[in-house]
Amino acid sequence: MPASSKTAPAIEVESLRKTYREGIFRPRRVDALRGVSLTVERGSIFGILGPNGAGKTTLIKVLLGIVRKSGGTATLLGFEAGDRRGRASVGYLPENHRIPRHHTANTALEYYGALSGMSVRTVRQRRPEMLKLVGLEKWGKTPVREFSKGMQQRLGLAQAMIHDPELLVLDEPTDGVDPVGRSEMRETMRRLKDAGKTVFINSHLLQEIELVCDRVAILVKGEVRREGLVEAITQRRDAELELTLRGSEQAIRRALDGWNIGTGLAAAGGGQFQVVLKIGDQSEVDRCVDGLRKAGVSLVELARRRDTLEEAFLDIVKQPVVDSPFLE
Amino acid sequence: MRANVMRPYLAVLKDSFREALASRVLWILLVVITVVLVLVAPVGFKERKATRLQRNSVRNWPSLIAKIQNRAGQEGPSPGRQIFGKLSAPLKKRLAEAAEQSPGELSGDVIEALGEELNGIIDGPVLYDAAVWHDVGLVKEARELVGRAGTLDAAEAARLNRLSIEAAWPSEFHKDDGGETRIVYLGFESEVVPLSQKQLTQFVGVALMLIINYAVGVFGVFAAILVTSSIIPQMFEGGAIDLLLSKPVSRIMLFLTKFAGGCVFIGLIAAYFISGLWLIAGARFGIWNGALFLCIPIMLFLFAIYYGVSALAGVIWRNAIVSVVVTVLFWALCFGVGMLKGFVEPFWINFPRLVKLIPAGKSVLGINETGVVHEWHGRDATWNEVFTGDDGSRNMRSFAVPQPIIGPVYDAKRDRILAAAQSAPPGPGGGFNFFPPAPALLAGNRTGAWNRKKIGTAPLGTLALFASPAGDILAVTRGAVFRLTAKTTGKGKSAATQEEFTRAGPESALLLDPSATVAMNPDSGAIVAFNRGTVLIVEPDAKGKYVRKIDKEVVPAKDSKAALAAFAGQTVLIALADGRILVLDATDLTISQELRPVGENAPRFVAAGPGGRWVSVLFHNRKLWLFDVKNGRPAGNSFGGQGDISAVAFDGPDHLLTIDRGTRMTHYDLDPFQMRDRAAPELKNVEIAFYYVIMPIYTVLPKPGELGNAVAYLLTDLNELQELGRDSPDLSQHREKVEVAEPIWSSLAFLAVILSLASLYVWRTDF
Repeated sequence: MPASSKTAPAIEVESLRKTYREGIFRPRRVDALRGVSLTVERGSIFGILGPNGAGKTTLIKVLLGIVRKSGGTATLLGFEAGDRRGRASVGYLPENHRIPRHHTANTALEYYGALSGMSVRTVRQRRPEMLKLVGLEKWGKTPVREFSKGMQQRLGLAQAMIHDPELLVLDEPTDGVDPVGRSEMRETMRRLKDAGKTVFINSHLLQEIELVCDRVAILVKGEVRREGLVEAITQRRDAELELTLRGSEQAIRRALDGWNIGTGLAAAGGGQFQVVLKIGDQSEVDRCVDGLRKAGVSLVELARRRDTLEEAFLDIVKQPVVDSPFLE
Repeated sequence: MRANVMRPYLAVLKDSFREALASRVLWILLVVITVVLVLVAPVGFKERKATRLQRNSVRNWPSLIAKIQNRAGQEGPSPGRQIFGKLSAPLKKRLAEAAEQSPGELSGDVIEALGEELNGIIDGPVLYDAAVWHDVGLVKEARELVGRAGTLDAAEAARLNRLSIEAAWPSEFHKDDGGETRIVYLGFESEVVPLSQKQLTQFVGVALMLIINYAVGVFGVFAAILVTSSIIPQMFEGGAIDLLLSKPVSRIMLFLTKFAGGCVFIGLIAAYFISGLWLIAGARFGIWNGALFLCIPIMLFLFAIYYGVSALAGVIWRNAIVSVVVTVLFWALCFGVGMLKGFVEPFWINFPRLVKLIPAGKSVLGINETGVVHEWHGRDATWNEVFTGDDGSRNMRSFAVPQPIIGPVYDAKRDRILAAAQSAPPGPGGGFNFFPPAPALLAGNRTGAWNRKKIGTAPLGTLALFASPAGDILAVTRGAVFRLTAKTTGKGKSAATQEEFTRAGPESALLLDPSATVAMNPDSGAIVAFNRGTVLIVEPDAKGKYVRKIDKEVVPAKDSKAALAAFAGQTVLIALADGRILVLDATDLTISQELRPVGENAPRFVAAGPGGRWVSVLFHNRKLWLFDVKNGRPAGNSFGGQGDISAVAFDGPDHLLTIDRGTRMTHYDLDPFQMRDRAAPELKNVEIAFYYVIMPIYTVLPKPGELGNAVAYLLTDLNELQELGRDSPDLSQHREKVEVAEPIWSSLAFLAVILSLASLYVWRTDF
């Protein structure tokens, strides 16, 4: 591995474009990626979000060389996307993957391990650990055709990890997996992160992403609409402050005179009142608190209001699109 | 390092095995193969050594009896005298009559009677008597039997008698006339089958070839396609291909390895079956034919052609059923085009091809492969059928077995053509219609629009008809030369002229084999014959009676096969079946030159031109070669249509006519060499379709069906021959060229193209 590739980001994408041509008699262009740019640092868990048809799987396929890019640049572990040296250090779990039905869990790991250049002996040494990690330790000799969807998903994860890759690309990894399994998968991802590995994950389950990812990018119709830390994305642009106060109603109203108190003051019982203030930055918060204290109002609780990732996602996705990605 | 590079691909190969082993069809296939082998295994042959003579035990019955009689007529005890003395008086009388009427010929019933009596002698007491048989070299088996004389049982005595007779006249017996053979199966024995040891070996070879070509080549390959059809499509299904392509492997290598995996797997199945056959052929028939194993790669190659198509369909549509359907359609296309070619080519291309040209005064006549005679009409450039019956019917059937005709020859005196027609062709080796009746003599006059009429019979055993330089029509039989003479019968108004052949020498019978070839010197009228390695010249004396001039063995009789001869000036040219040309001095029959102008191709027609300057040799590969007798070297002229020339005739001392492209006629001056004119009839629609539609498609498509030729080449006598009909003594018969290498190369090219296309598709596609 060249020196540069060891320090390079796990994934680096700049103005990446992919255009498909569909149809034989009336060919039409479909712009699946329209200038995507993002960077995934090593040792992080990065989530890619987006509605159906946003281009998430296309992005992954371009990175792995399964699909050729139409423009822009994309590197994987410092290598050009599709370069075999880059792919050698990647473990990939595709969406709706299909492990041939004639395999057992054991032979499937042997097969995919060998495809990654591992000897049978090495695969056999690592195999019990991998199967245990995904909860299939008792199912090694069972034919894949007898596996449930969730078990196949677990086996898919095991094959992606069998060669101890630097980067794990997971496309809908918890699809069909029960809640316990999901929790185990999250735990696995955290452990991989702790071991310095990078995880690039695409999932519709926003809770999963929110729970496990450091950074996310939201892709809409082939464009990155938002990219950043999860906290930054879930923070509301018009921040709200929720206050629980104790004091006379009159003193409170006087102290908050001039502030935007939204729906107004609400009695919470026990001499306490609740109010939601629409406040901009931290200096305003300080000024407001100073005013209340000066008026003799006691501050029982103060909390900033946040969106869930789902709320943030829906909010971002609903924003109007300037161009249609589907060009005739 | 290398192991690491190859590891992924070895894993793919191994996975193909796993996948195929998981298929139920495979297990059914293995069970079927095992059952077939178990059923075939008990078949065997039992052989007892031959004692009795069959008709085909003897090469030349008239020659054998002539030799026996010859010895019997000499002084002192001899095997000939001993045996001839045991023949019955009525048979001796019939033999004498036959020698008088048709020297060198015996009718079928006489041979039958002779055979019966000889078999009676063989079954009788031991013939061998050291005093009488002292100059006969017995084979080891016979010597051992002689050593036990007095203790022999009847069968052993008969065997000794048979071996003694064979040893006395070894050249008259077929060497491979082994014994009495019976088929056995699980303890049951059949009746005696008329097969010698050599024929038995050939039969087993042919049976193996049929099993491999049909059981393996058709059913096996089809089953293999079913077993393997899902391998490639499943690999390229969404979800599966993503996994594979994310690995650090080459797409093209991935595809090719998967393809190879299917091939290797089927190769092992074929190896199982063919090894089983090899074991059975060896253990049961004693035929340990290692060439059987070479059929494994051939069958594998056959499978690979179909699998290549299946794989291409698999990567494009990624559906096993579509792959199978496309493969079956492809098979149907190959089969259909092959069938169409096989149907059109003989009937519309080969049969109408002119193979003989006869300059007949002002006309030129051409005879096609089926023996139909045509006359050239220069004005409208057409060949019109002539020499038909009075009712216009053809005696020579266009769409059936070619009618063997001897001649025709042009009778310049009476401006007519004459031909002798057999009712049915003698089979190769004389097995079929062994004793044909005397052929009919047919004549067609120019004034009668060349319509043919039977005017009599040609002598029994006629080998050739010639028009002598004196203008006589001569027939050469296996025994003598006959001249066609007119005889007036009756008187007055009832007087009629009849033509019949009368013997014109030589004094002692020629005793030629049916496979002998004869030719006439167009200037001197002398006749040269090539018979079992010996060249014999008879020439007319002052009275026109043919007398023996010289004979000499020029090729060892045991090595001699068919040949053609020509006689020009004082030079005899013998064109041997193995492609050699011997140039002999006619005065002492010494070989002055031995040439091999066209490799090992057999000659088909040889002709000497009037004036004695030129001899033409036309080979079965339709290449024309001209020998300049005057200068004693090949002429080296460049004839148009080389490789497609089918007929040649001299139209004068230095003029040559050739036919190429089936019916195109070209006229050459030979000294100095130049093309004088050329004319060809218009192509018919079916010919246009053949040359411009069928052949291009046929050329592009692989020829999986013709790979069977390679199997035949390996398992049967075709490995010596390469051409069907090559065993036939008659070199002038049409031979179907069996292409062994060409289908392999064209199929290989097709496979390479298909795999390249599939690889390109795999490489370019976004999965």
